[in-house]
Amino acid sequence: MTEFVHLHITSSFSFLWGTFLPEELINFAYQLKFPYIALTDNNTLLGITRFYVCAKKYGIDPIIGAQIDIKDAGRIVFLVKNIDGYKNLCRIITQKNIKKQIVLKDIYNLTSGLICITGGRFSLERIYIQKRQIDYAIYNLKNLKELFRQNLYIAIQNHKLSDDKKVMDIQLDISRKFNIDTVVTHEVAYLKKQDSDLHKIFCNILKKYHHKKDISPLPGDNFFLTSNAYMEKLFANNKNALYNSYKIAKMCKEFELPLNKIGPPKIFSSPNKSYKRLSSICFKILARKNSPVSIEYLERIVKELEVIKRHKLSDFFLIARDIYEFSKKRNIRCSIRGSAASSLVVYLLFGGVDPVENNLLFERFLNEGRQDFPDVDMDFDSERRDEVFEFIFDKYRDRCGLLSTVLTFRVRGAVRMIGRAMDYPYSEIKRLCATLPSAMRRIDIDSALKKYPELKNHPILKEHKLLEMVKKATSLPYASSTHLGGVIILEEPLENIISIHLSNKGYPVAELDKEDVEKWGLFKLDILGLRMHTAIAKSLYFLKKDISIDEIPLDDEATYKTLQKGDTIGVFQLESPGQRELVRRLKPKNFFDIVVEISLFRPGPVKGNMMSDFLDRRDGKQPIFYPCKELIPILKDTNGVIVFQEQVLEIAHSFAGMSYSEADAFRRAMTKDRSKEEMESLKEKFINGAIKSGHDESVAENVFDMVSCFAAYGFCKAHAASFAHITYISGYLKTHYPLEFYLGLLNAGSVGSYPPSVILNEAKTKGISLYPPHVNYSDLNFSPYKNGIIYPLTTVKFLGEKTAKTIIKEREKKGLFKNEFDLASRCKLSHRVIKMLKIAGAI
Amino acid sequence: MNYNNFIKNWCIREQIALKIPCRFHPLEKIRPLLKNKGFIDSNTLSKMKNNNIVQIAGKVILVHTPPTRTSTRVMFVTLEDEKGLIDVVIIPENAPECARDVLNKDIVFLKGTTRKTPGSIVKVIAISPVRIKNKSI
Repeated sequence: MTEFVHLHITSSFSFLWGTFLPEELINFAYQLKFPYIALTDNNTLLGITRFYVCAKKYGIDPIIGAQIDIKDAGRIVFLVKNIDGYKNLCRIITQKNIKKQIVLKDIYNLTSGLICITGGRFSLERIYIQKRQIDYAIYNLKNLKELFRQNLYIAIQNHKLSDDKKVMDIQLDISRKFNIDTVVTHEVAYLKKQDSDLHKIFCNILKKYHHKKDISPLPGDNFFLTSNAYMEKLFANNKNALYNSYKIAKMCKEFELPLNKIGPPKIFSSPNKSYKRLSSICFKILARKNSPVSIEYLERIVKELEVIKRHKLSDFFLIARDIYEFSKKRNIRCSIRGSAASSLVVYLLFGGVDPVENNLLFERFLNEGRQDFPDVDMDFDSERRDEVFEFIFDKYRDRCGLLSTVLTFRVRGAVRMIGRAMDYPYSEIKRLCATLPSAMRRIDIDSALKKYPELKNHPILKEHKLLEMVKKATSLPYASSTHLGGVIILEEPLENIISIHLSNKGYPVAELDKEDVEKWGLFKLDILGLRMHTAIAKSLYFLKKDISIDEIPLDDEATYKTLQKGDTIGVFQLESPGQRELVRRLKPKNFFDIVVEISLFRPGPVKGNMMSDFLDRRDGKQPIFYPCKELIPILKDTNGVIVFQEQVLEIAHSFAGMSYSEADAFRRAMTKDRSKEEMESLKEKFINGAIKSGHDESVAENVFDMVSCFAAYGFCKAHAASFAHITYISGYLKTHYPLEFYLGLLNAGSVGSYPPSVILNEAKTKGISLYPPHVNYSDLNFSPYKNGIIYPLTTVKFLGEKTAKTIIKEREKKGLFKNEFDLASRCKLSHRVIKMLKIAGAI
Repeated sequence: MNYNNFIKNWCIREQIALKIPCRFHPLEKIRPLLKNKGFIDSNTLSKMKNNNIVQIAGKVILVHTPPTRTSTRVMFVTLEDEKGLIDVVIIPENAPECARDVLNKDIVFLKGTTRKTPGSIVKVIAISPVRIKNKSI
């Protein structure tokens, strides 16, 4: 039997062209019993990681490729034969992304290890043949032959279109004349025939929504994933070309993506030297912070450094420390969030809350069983985060990049875009979208129709075709963007790993998303922006007093009184109506109470009624119950309620006898949606472990039931503690320096839940005078004035930043303005602006 | 010009010329009228006991529909008047009428009952919107 392999497939990562996810392709290929399958998306490698991993999981050999638009060759399919070919493909796509248009000359040195297939739709060769300009087609082929030699193939295709047969005959003729092999390919843009409509609608979105007028969809409905039998029948007379697809697949199947093989840059020549350097920094800081160093700290630091050494993570920490040092030198506020805050090493390197003092469990962050790089998420002052990026890109140059994020269709957006593509009038689209509840943004329309009874008679139900298309499109990617703050730093050039494009700010962006990075096992840092850091930094600027805000003791009574009153507008994490309500009930008396508060106010605990349980037990309204005495030390602080993920880990470790890595795996498994069988197996494991540790089966069952109820709701204590520290600092500033605190909030952009008017109103109710803008006293931002706050000039309507700057500059240069005429003549302001300034009383 | 007219005058001027009100909250200009019609401000509300029928007015600041224990969709609304914030809860039974106002208007007038649990702030459980016919609104 002649084998056929699909070598020309575009998934939904060819945005608004392909109509299926790579996983769906693999699943379909598995059903059709394909041993090989290729993915050749348009000018991108964004989908290849998930395609590769999924294919391997199904036992199918993945063939990596892409189709690339080249100005003097048209759309060419490239397939990767080996690692050189892969690197070259990454470089070609990077060039294409950066230059927007490439020519054959640009890829002159980038052809080794690649197979080139021309002759498909949109290739210049086919276009010339269709126009009967055979000489041009031959000229084009000769150029490609010169570059790719025996790795060049002419694609012959039959999608049952009127001119397919004629074109094929000419292609076969040329191939014989010029000794170029042919290969049968079948372009796939949808998996099933009936999905051709969606492909056409996607092209309409490109035309009508993105105004790409020259896009035309694939004709007919034969661009689906055909079976081998279908292809053999269709190309019964071209067995050789058919077989060539198999031959190419065999050539490409040896290539493997270098997953889990690329580490972070080496700071020192040997891991031992890096480790020594890291240890020395940690011990020095420890001696400075906790002199004399207690045994507890010493034991903890030694244990953590041992784990770090075994996992070869010293370089990882040194790189992150380097970035932190830079931010410190530049006075850019920085903190660590997430489970990393539970590490003493992290505390010593980056500051934050003391994990020993706050009883934070290191194993939640890093344990023996963890194979991947741990997450270290760093929060920086939002306004100055770009300085940190500049530093990283300057230091690591071609070895680092930001991450991509893939935008997928959600229901509302899909209705809007597809409705537009289907020629629905704007008013109708608005009507259909406006009545779709916002909660549907994260779920598909079918689930929404089941979940929300009020959608029973929704007008969209009458739009059958639109509804069908929306259902098909939901969760498919339609564009890529830059990830909020993910940065990868590698030991070799990023271009060797993946293709790159440039962000709006000109930073390199790797065509990998967050999940891909995990699969690659790459070193990633999250460089995030936190507006509250900006607000705190600005408050300190106005304070003009040297207070080490990060080092203030965490036991300031006045601060806790402010929080207990629920006076928390502007206080980090505690300002939403629900939080204000909870903080009043909880009445935090110490730092741990803030940690609990932040952990309890989450959708899970709210749904699980953990808040009331916690408060009722604390206030003696409900008895505190422990299924067995071994749980008392673990759950004592939270009155017998499981509030933190760390507690689940401790229970699995101490009660069920699991190692910390097993306990962490258990915790992760418990937080996911589990099938009945998975749940049974977890239960069995837990109970067997508990019995082995000497507990009764009935007690073990009780504890498991308790853990399974709360595990999904638990919050990472270390993350809550690091946030609680920022909460405390903001609360402290609000209590002791309200004027500066409000100024900081007002000038930091949109911080928290409330608009500036609410913050200003609160400041006023607290006796801080507010002064309207004035041309002689106002600045570009809210600023202190006579023990109160004066509005910036930009709060006057029709007065933009540019005009405000002109006024301020003129004032600083030639003195105060005497009257409106003086102002108008010196600053050349429009009549409208003068009028507004007058009405506002600003002159 | 008496004080009320002075406030009214400045409120209007700020509304015309400023992006964020400064001297006076938008509700201050109609406070005398609201007082006559039995509306209370956030300060008075905070001192009230449980289960009182009240009328409140405020600028809509936040509308939130978080997950609840019973999975019913309750709207938590934050209103603001010149004295501070008012937390309003709109339960599904009263949702259509009150929610329409809250979602479509900048300033809303609501009738509701007070609810105060020990240690918490006084909330208003909205019953219905109040219609006020006056040129100054």
